[in-house]
Amino acid sequence: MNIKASKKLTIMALFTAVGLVLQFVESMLPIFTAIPGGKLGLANIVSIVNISFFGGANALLIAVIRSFIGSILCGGVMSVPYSVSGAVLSTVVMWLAKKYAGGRLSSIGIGVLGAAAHNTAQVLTASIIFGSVYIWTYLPVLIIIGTLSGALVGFAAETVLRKTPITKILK
Amino acid sequence: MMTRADRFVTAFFLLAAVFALIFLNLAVYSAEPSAIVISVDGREYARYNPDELSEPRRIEVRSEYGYNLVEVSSEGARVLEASCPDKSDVHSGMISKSNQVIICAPNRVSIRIVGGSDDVDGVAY
Repeated sequence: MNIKASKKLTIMALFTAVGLVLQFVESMLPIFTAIPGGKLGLANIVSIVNISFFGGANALLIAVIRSFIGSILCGGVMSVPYSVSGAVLSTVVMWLAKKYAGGRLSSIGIGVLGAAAHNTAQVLTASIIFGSVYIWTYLPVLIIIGTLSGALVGFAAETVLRKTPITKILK
Repeated sequence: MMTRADRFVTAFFLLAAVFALIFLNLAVYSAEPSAIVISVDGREYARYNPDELSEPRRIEVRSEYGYNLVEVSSEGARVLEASCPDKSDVHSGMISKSNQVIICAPNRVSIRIVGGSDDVDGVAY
């Protein structure tokens, strides 16, 4: 393995850890667990940054690993399907948004799309696990919270992207 | 810093969510509540008629997944205590309109208010 590839792998592992810490810190903030399913989605900052730095496939891999470990640490085994489905759908949607509308959308719009995808995946997972369609009534409130927090997360990601000279680091 | 497309996406989701909330209140929540149904892991655990509850009643829901203390009354239903880590069901507060639900995902508990003559409780067996 050459030095560039090892550097890339190391930084990807580091970003997985950063995402984990953000997810863990967020779960300790009581204000964001007060609304069922509502969250800030801080770990999504890392996912947005990863899509730009390492490409969608790597970002997806990191998001799956991060959400799997993070949900076991923060919410227990029962929360794994919610967290992982949310991470997968939101990362795929943000990847596609970046690929096909990256010229027009900044990270803010991408963050909003990712949050909406995350909310939809969680409600879909809950409706499958509970076998009930009425859980979809949660979605509008989640989307309102998710749109606001997604824009905030996108703004944070945009700032990280602008200030990190990743091409220099990976040289 | 927000582009035009960003503003469009943000406004789209906010407006869609607001319209969905209006629709829910007009069409989904409007029926007169006729029963409060507590389910565990998709199976009906208990069912109450809110009109017959002159006093609030506390129900301990225990299963292999965990423990929830539910209060049902003529006003609706809420969760008072839960063994799950995030307590999002407790934070949900009171539900009072038909077709509203509280779920406790870790404990697989759901509480739903059934409305009108709709006797299908929306739970798959």
